[in-house]
Amino acid sequence: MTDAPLVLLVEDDAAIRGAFTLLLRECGYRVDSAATGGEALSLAAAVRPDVVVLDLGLPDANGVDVARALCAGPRPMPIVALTGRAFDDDRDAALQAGCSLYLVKPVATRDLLGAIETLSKS
Amino acid sequence: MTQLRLHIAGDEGTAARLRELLAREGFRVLEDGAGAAGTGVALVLDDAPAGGTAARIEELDRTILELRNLDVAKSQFLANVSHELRTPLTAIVTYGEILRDGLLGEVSARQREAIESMISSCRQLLGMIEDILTYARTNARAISLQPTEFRLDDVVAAVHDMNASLISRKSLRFAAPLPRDLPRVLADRDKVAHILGNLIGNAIDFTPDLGSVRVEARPSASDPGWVEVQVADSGIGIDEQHHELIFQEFAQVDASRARIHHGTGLGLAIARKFVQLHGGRIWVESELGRGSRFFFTLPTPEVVPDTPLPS
Repeated sequence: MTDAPLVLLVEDDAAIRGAFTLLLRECGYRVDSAATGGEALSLAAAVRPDVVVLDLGLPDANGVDVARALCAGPRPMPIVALTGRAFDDDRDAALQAGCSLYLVKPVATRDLLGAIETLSKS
Repeated sequence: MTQLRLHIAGDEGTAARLRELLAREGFRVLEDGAGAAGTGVALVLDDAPAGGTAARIEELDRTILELRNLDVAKSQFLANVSHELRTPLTAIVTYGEILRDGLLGEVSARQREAIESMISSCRQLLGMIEDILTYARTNARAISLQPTEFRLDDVVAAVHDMNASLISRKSLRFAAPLPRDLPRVLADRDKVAHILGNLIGNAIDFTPDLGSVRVEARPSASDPGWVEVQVADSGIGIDEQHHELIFQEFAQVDASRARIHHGTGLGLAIARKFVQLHGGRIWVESELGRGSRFFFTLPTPEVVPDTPLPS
């Protein structure tokens, strides 16, 4: 089953990371996860994920900067940004930084799965 | 008689504390009202009480600074706490949805119903936390608008979809007959979605089963170049004496209503703030027992820049 798309999940909260990892694995994806922006960048370079799910509210770095760095390489990877409803400014910045889609937290599992499916096929 | 004019950038709570303090110090407030920017409070005082006026003014200056710092600290605290509350709830909702959708094994109809109730309560709680977070953030820092041109019916449809399950559970009739030729508005789409989300959410909350919720929009008759949006419901209505109160932070018409209808009392305050940021107006027409009609105005690209807008 190495053909299953690989999702890199970047989320600082362990409980949410655990829930999303379980969800994605149960739905047939391979999942790597990172809790910080720094971890995300080194992991992304190492494993070349098919889709990145990126929480914009990270403890060590600005999520938008992380998105920009992920998109800067020769093979930019599709990113789903997760933003809070109260952080309106982040959304346009996320799209400008190269994120393909954004979902507003709290994200419904169906929306997340739909976004990942769309991007992993593109 | 010397008069002292103070302008305080802060919220109503800060102003109330200042008024209390002034009264205690023996000052008399001659005039009281919102500041020019609509974000502060202007007080005009008559002559200072007996004793060193300069010293008292200095003391007041210090107090104002302290209150302002306290106000910012309060908003920051609210934002932090809301964020911390939201995170574990998000995990609960996600695990709930994983269970509900049978990803970890088949669930019976009764189990699914129980899980669905759990998820819906969590989402309600998340909505309230979101309100507090939004309120705290709009108070803690200046918010900027990112206006774009868009069709209102798209946003209304999106807000309807978000509330679809609640509308069908309460068997409400929902209609949004927006005219096809309604001018596009020039506004911050996320903020408008937020305003409509709060108004439509309230309409659903305060309307008993089998009632109706209706969204309409038309070019404003009194403000050329503006669109007037109306969210009407057949719900419990609001007594006229409360028409202003409900737009204030943390206001609930009465405690029993708050207990039945949950809200944080912030939804309309946020809606008003967002409408005013666009230079628009928001108001309500309602009578107890006769439903409510909330109105607000949004600019279209036709609004000429030299139209006097509240800044």
